[in-house]
Amino acid sequence: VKLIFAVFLLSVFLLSCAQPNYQEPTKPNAPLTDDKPKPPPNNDTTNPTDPPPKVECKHVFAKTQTCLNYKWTKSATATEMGTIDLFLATLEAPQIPVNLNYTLAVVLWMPSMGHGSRPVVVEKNSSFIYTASKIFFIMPGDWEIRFQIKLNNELVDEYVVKIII
Amino acid sequence: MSMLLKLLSSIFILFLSAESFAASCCGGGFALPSLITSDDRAQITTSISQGSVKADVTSGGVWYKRNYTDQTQIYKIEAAHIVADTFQVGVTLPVQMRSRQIENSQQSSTGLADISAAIGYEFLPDWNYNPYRPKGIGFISITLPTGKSIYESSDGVDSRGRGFFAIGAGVALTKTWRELDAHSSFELHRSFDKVTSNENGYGNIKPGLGSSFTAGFGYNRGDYRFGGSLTWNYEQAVETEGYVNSLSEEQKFATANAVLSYMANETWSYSFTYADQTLFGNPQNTTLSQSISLSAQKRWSR
Repeated sequence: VKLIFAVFLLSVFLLSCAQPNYQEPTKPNAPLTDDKPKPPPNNDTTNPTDPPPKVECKHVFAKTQTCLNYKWTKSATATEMGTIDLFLATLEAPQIPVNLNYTLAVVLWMPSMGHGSRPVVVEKNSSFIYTASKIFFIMPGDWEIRFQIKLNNELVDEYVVKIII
Repeated sequence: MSMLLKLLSSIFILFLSAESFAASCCGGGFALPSLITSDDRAQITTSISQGSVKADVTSGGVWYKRNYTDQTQIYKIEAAHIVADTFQVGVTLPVQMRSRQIENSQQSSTGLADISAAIGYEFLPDWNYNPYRPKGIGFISITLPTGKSIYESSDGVDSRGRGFFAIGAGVALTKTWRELDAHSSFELHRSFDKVTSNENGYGNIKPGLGSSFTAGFGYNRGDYRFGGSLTWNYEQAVETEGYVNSLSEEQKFATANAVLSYMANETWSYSFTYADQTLFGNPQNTTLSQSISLSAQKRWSR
């Protein structure tokens, strides 16, 4: 009985051994996009007879049909706060920055665990460029950066970027 | 001698049944209630544990090492008392200190974690002459959301509990053969919806079912016992409605415990426990910790 008991316990424990699959976060310091905030186009130099240049919008707010342009000015890591500059533009080329009467918000969300992180501070620092600062992820893992367009604190539109910290 | 061994092992098994198993990121998991599995009338256990987060595991099973310090200290008082011949009540009061140090910046938070209470019923008395039949105790437990949850926390450090009102039920079995003993327990719990708010906004959090299963053994020699146990924990996905609409992933982790216990006399015993969540199981969507704890237990015989 002792032997069976011991073999059973040993088997249970050994079969349960963890198999760690350690990885390094993928490019934790890399910007999520190569997009750079673009200055408003100088319409004076545009020849009305030329076809509009094709500009691909990589990040589209589906409901409001606006284009999100953003760039990490300071990358966020597991230990450091980050900063993002962002602005909205029209989808159609040429992309013209839009100044909506909406509020822009940025929410950090860990979808697998279903919780957020520290609040992100979003400030308008020019006529159309916003700065999202104090971006800090409270734990390593898979995260979402949820760019939100709000009206009277109600969510109007949302664009989600996935990132691993 | 045989009876003494049975007494010792029954008492030492208590230390295992009083362990709580939590993914330390979120104060998660579910505390098994403090139960009397020996023939005592009452018991009080005090313990202090020091834990450190070692890794984070995604829902896809990818592990990431923690590169900063995230530590938890838990001070716990557990009490149980027989209220009738086969009924007992127990309560667990945990206080948690959480600290996180990132380079030169340190944050910490101290406060009450989730309080739990239980009613137990000995449905299967131990028959010493029967080599197979175990002692069985069924229990119903409640957990009060006295600790702030990760869903309400805005920085993660002040999260000291799962933060949901929960009702659970389970069974604990113990058996002793001379110098060997074994124990096992299973519990199922249901956590209930909660409206939360923090600086990010309001949300309605909908948790689901969770369960845990423990199997362990011990070897007794004189006044000492060396034991090991393994506990598997499972939590269903959590749905969030509000400032973010989201359905999380299920959470799984296993906690291995190694315990060295010493019985000073018939009423006092002490225990040292090493717990490690990185060794066993197929963890998913959780943080993994290692911890040590010291506990002292005072008992009153019937």
